[in-house]
Amino acid sequence: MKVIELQNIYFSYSDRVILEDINLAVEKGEYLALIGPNGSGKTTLVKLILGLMEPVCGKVLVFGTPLKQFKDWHRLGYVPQRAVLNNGFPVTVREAAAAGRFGRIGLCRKLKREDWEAVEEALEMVGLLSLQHKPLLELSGGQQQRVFIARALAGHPDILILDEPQVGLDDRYLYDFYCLLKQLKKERAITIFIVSHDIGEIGSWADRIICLNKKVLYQGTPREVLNPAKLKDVYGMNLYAAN
Amino acid sequence: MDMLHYDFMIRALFAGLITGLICPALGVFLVLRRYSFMADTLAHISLAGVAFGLLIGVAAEFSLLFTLGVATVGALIADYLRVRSRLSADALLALVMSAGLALAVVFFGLSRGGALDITSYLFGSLMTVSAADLWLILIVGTIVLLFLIFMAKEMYFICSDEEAARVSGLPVDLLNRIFILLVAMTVAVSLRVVGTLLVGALMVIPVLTSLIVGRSFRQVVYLSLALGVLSSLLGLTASYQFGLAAGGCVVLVALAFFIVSYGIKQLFTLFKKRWVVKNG
Repeated sequence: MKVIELQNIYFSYSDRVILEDINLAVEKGEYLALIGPNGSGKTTLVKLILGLMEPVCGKVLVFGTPLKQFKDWHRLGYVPQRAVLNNGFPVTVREAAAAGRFGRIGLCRKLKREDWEAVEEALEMVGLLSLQHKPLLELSGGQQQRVFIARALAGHPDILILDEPQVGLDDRYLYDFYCLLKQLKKERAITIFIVSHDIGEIGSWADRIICLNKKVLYQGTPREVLNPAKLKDVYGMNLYAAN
Repeated sequence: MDMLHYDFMIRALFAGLITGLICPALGVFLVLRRYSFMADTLAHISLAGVAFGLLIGVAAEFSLLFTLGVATVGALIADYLRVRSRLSADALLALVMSAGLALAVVFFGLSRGGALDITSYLFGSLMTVSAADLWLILIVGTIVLLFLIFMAKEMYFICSDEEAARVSGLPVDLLNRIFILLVAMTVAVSLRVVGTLLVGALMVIPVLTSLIVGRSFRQVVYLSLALGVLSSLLGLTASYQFGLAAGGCVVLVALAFFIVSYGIKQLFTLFKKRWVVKNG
């Protein structure tokens, strides 16, 4: 079953074409990585899927429903690329992660005990439960990023969309992070859609890789896609990825 | 306490109590969103509304309602421009603010006779709150508080991370619009007490003080409300005692709270640093 489907998507900013004739589908329960150089339109593609931008033409379907009619937003978890709050507001880790429940419980409702349990469980998954009462601003950039991953998980999504979440995560946590994604996929059948610049690591974790540079250049298993010739085609230089 | 023998003073204090409560309540979200100048912008539009009301001869008992109407329309225009134009937020606010002030000055000029009123609108006054105004302030205050009681968590999410809020399915555009309308209404009714030039300060300064002290979002909100009310009541009392402009007194009290909190915090931090260095 296709959980996300893009049909003939075009996107441009006034005179610059960003995405051209994009057709792709994300199958239920798969672990899909989107790679490509800077400016290749990866983030734009994610924003189109999330309805934060509208394509010039083409169709986006989420769980088989056109985006305009889609209502079950709580089924999507989103971890944005830039996730550092820097406006000096004192928010505790727990409060920040709790926002992930808002879409699920609906307007005007208060968080109940099961919501807080979901928040704590999500913080546990990213290894931050012991810091839950700390102010978010006292955490390092990488830890803050993990709070935002927890926020997405707290809503118990069916699909997790992550836009370069590795930015700011240190090497020590990065491995745990990839394991966590794998575990979510395995134990909860969550579909993972991750935008990555880390072509070295991602090959050993994802089921399928899509190379984007304005168009979908290649897609397939890491073994098929991550070979020097294809990567050179995508990035315009010699790159080697371990897989 | 002899000031309580005067009806006008009781009305002013009551109006001050409500504005002192709702201004920082909305201000928390303006500051969170880095939109602190929104209040000032809407205040200048409201001033244009006041001037236009004088020009076309709106009856005194309806003047506040009229101002409120103009502020609301101004807010909708500002919001439309925010969404549609590619101007940055500060540029947009500067644009709309100067447009409001320019219109106000021209309308005041055209209506002549209004010159006496201008200062009370610019700096606030104890004398101008009528019984009808007080009702309107009460109604606006109730609407704002109800909105925040039910929507605080959604507004918090939207103001701290609008994209994520949108993705979670919250009706972000609708809530933004309602919020901006509430700010406009609050600004318009607060003009009577604190005046155009200082209403923004009453929205923002108590919040900034709370940010120095507060340890969680909840604490910041409650502290802002308390400081807003306290500044408002103390300021109005000072204004009565010394015969000074109400808005100026209110904002100076709020500033005093800020400076004292800031000073104590600095001293505390210094002390703590020394202690850490000495004792490891």
